[in-house]
Amino acid sequence: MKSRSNLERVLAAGHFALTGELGPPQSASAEVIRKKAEYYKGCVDAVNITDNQTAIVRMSSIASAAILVGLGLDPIMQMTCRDRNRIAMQSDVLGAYALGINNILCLTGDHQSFGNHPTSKNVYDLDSVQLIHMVRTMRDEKRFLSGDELKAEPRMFIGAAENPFADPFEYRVVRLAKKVAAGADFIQTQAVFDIPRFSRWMEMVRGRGLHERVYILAGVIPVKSARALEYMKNEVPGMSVPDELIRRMEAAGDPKEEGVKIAVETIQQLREIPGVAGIHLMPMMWEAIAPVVAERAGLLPRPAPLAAGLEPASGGPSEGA
Amino acid sequence: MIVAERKSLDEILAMLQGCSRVLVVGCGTCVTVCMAGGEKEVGVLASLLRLAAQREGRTVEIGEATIERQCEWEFVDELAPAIRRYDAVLSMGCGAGVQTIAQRFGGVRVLPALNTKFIGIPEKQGMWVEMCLGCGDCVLDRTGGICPIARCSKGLLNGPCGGSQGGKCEVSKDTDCAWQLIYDRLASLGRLDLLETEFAPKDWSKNRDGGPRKVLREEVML
Amino acid sequence: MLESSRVVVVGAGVAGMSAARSLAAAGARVTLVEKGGRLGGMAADYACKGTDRCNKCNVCLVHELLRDVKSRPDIGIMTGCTVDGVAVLSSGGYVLKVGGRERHEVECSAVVLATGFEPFHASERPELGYGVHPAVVTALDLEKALRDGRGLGEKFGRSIGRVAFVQCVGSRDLQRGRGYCSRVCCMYSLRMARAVRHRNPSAEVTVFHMDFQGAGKDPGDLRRRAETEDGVRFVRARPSEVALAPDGRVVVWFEDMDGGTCRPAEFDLVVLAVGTGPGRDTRTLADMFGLGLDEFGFFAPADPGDEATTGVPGVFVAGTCRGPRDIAESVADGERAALAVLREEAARRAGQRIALSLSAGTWPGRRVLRGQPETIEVSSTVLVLGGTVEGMEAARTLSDLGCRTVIVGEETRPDGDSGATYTLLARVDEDSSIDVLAGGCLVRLDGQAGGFRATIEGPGGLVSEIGAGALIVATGYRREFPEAARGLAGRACVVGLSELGESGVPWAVGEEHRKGGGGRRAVIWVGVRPDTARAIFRQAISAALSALAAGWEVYVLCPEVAVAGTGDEVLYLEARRQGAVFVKYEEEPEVQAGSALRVLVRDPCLGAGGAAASATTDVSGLLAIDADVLVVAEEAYPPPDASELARVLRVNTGPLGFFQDDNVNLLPVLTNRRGIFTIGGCRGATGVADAMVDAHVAAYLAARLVGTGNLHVDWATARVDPDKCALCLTCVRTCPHRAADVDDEVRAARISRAACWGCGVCASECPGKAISLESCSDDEILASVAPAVTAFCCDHSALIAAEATMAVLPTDEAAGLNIVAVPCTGKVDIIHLLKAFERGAEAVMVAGCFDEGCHFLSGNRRARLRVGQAASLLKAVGIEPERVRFYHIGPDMSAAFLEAVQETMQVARELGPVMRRRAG
Repeated sequence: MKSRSNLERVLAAGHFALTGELGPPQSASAEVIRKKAEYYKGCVDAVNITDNQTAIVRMSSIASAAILVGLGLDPIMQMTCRDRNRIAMQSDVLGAYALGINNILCLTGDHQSFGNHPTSKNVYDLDSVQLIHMVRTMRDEKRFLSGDELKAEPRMFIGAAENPFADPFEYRVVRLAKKVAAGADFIQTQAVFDIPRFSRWMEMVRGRGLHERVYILAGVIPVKSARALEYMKNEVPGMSVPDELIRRMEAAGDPKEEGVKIAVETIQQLREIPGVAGIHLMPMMWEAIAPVVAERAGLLPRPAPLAAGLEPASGGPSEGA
Repeated sequence: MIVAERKSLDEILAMLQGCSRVLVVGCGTCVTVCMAGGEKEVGVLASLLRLAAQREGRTVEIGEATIERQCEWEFVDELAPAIRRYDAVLSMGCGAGVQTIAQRFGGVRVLPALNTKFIGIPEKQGMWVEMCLGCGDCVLDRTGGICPIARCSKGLLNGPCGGSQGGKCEVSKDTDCAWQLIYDRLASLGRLDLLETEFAPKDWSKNRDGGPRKVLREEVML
Repeated sequence: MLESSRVVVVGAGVAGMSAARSLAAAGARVTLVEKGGRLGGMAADYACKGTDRCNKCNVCLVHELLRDVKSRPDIGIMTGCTVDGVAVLSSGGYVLKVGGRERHEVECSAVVLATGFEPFHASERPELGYGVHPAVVTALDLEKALRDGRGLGEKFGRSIGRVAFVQCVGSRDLQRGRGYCSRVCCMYSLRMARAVRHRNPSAEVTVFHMDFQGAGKDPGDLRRRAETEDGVRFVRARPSEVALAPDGRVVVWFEDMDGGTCRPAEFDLVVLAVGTGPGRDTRTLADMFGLGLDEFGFFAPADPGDEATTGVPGVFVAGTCRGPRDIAESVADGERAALAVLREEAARRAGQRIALSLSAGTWPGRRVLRGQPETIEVSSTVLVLGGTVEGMEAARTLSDLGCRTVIVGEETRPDGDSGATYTLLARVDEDSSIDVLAGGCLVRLDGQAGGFRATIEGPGGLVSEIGAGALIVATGYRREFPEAARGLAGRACVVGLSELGESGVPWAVGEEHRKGGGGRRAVIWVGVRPDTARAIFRQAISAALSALAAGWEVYVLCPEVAVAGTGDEVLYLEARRQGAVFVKYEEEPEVQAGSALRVLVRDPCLGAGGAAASATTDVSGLLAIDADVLVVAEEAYPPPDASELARVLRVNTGPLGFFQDDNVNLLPVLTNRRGIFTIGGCRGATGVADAMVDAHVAAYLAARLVGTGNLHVDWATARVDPDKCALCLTCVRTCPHRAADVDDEVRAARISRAACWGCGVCASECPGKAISLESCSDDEILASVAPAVTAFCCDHSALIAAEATMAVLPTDEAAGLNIVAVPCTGKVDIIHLLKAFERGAEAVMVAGCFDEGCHFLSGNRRARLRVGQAASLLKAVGIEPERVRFYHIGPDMSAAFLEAVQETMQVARELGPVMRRRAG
């Protein structure tokens, strides 16, 4: 094992994994996190904590993830390249590990122009590939990016994102390969609505044998309304939403129920695709639905977490070793 | 070339508050070419300053001069005979020009009339686009002659982010995704292999290494 | 050339003035004899029909001509005079007896008759009520009312809510011996309708017409705009009566298409589009000079290939006296008559090279300021691109005028190729001053008028450079089935009209597929653009007639019957008489091709008679024709490489992609670049006759430009100060005429004196103020700016109107108005606008041509942008933006100019001086 991550343990054991996503509040309230975390307890293997997503200021992902550790959940700390340079990022990785965080998802980050501080200066000192590489180097080679030696390494299970629906399509797999080569252990994809396109992408992934080198978790968003789908189709860059899905939601008598049905069907179809190792559920402020979807998709119960894996890092294995 | 744009008149008028004798100085090189600070723009701005004063019933003296390049001591020197007659010099040069005049003439208030924007090209008449960031460490050999640092909104080095769609950047539909351009160009050159290898983190020390960067060529020094 | 010769031009209308100007510029002494009391002919009464945009009526060309002719000392003008007799001299010349207040005898070597037309007298159709009901007027009456500028309601003594235009009054009327289409009225009425709507936006316009006859530049566009922007309704009917309604309005009775019943419609104003007939003097002059007339009484050409000649030496004809034509065509016709005079002179002098020279005239934007005279050595070689018939004809004409030509490109064959083509080919082959570079292709063009350097890639990649003073582009057009019929190309029993050849019909095609028994049936489908239709329709009728002669049953399907060509109406009526069925469809026909061809078409006129028994119809008028042969008239498209060639040549193309600038001020063969001409098919002229006119006019103009090897430039041009030039290329990019390029030796921009039109756009755009326009420098302009209302007026439009306005302006108002003349509003720099205010102006107006009607192509657009920019800059320093204004003013719109001035003065009065009194 590369880490003490519950997610890694589940995946390594050959289980079909399930992760969830939790957006920290735009406030200093730990309570909100605790409340949202309740929905995920016993229902997913790990929980992503977003990092100022869409460039809107929220509680930091490190702090939020640390709260989850305290609750006995396995957090996946997201880290974007937008707000920190390589010095800050390395320092945060060290700190996060010290707080018992065992997973990191390395992202480029949405451009600040989308958020609530559009006049801020972005950093992008590193890009996501370089960030993955840096964390892997810290973990496996026990070196900082500078080459300086690192005494106690952060044993992170390293994740990356990929969007099979963005362009140039043919290049997407190349980029995935780069991330794998840089050190990604698992991949969470953009939400899948367009299964044919996702399947084509997976074909290319298998063509390069990447599914054997990295765990691929397909993204799924349960939607509440046709309008939400419409919005994602038109306003969110890099999304592919088939029109018939929108029509289906429009025609539905109970759109929320229909949304759950679509999510469950999608999960079932994704599970059939060779090389898909799990599902990443993104309920988008509808965390309460996560257990329902998990249940109805037949993904419950989850393998029981190892208590040891969730101890604070003070009792971490490498330190003890 | 350096591309600049005139500041709003409000801003210019505010910085000239209390000045009744102003010398507007144009530059005959980059900012003439990008239509921001050549002799014509000097004439327009000078005229507007006079009109603004007339409107308020003030008398002002607005001088006009355009020199070859505001960033060269020899050309800036041409301003010497007249400059001290004025309360302020309003430079229509780029940031380098403003500073050169200020450095040459101690005690003279030198104010910028332009915002210096970028190194770019006129993509078409009346539209200028950024092409180069002056990062000090050119990567164009590996990116098909298209700069990801200047032209990708995030300056990414290892391919497009997930917001690239239909050849456009997630930040604006009016902006081409630089990585789509790079991909297409390398595809047409048969060099997609260049995209397989990872770009290491960039050495930004060549861009900002504490204080102004310098280029030194001893063999041409006097 | 004609130092000792005198040419008399009879008639000072458009064609006469054009011929006189052209001949004078070529060095002839010209006497212009005009019967009326003033120059300009009928067209002098026409009104500019600009609305917000130029509607391409060409009336401003008349004003230009008037000014040019009046300002030339080498044109003698005799108004109020007629030619009463002629005597032939033994030398071959003539002595004309010219009568007026005094009698003169004028000796001359040549006579150009340009005596114009006579409009149909509407009172000859009393049922239309002209002269009886005040609400029934002719188009000419409306012209005068429009020109007056006052409200039309005021003019006609009533509000005009509903207006009817009645077309073909005295045209296409065999009963009255007028079995021809007057050709210009359809476009003319639409322009007038737009002008009426512009002045009375609530007016509803109905046009009663037979067929839409397109002419001029992109007629389809004008029709679309009239329909969509002005809501003009077209009714296909020929009104039978106009009666007075009790309320003082008039009732138009017309036969409804679908039933043959007569229906009434009420209008406030009925405008009769009276046709054009031969002038009153035509017969007298024909007898006097021994000339032939056609069946309608117009002068008949002796040589169909060169319609300016009459068969009588030294006597030439031009303009509407030889048949209906519009203003631009009449200007071109005048040029062509001048050419014919010169060619005859050259022939008489047996090969002696005739000296031609260019005056500033002929090109639009020509009443230019005087510049520093200079004679430039130019190449007298002319490069002809494209071995089309028109290209060869141009080369041959140039050869007559003493120019060497090089034809680049394969020869192609024209429509209905004929013996004449082969004769032409043979003559080109024999001519030692014509070289042919077969298979060559222009890949690059450097230099400017007088000194082009063309890089030609020959077969096998061989590259050569040819120096030429001028270029004539004659690359022809591409013929393809129109879009609606494209899927039919190559099908059995479907042939293209152009494939039929002169002999008519390959009716054998139908032979094999012919059904047992019954007659053989052909459908001819002419679904082409209105401008193409004019040339194509005649071929279709010829094909119909030959099929009828062979015993076939013939259907002709078309959206409109296009009979604007001479004699076409007669042919059309003959085809109908012989039993051809013409279906004017509104929806494209549908062709079902199973084992046999079946054409389905809806005939909106069904019931009005016509459908033959052999075609089956259903109640909705859907006609099903089982055809043995379907003949499809091909549409003309620009050749596939046209856009690339346009890029290399740096010439503008029109909306359809042809080499035809849409700007009305350019004669058809002219481009935005001096020295580059486009003729025939490549500019969209699909008829051989039109292509020949083009070839002659372009050859003549090219010869005048470079024929002598010297070009005398005396017009003002833009000049670059190389020390100030930052090589920003702004002038290279913004010059509408592509006269600016980079001088590699000086490392600065250079503006070719030969190519520059003198608009001053570059001078105003130059960010380094490195360019100035001779005789119109910034200092000169600023010197004439005074503390009053300042009006910058375009010399080609508003200034002419302003001159008339100033004459009637009350002295106190005139004192407060300061007019600054500029060659083009494109010369008005943003600095001029601001400086005017600095110097005390309270309001500034810029007045120029209508949108898309700039005499320099795009100067007015630039001026409008600058006025907008000035307004926002003034606002930024606290000065009311409405103090700076832009107006479109036609040359004859003195009333509109007066309104604009008063509006601007009102603004000035209300806002007061820019300068505020010192506070406290």
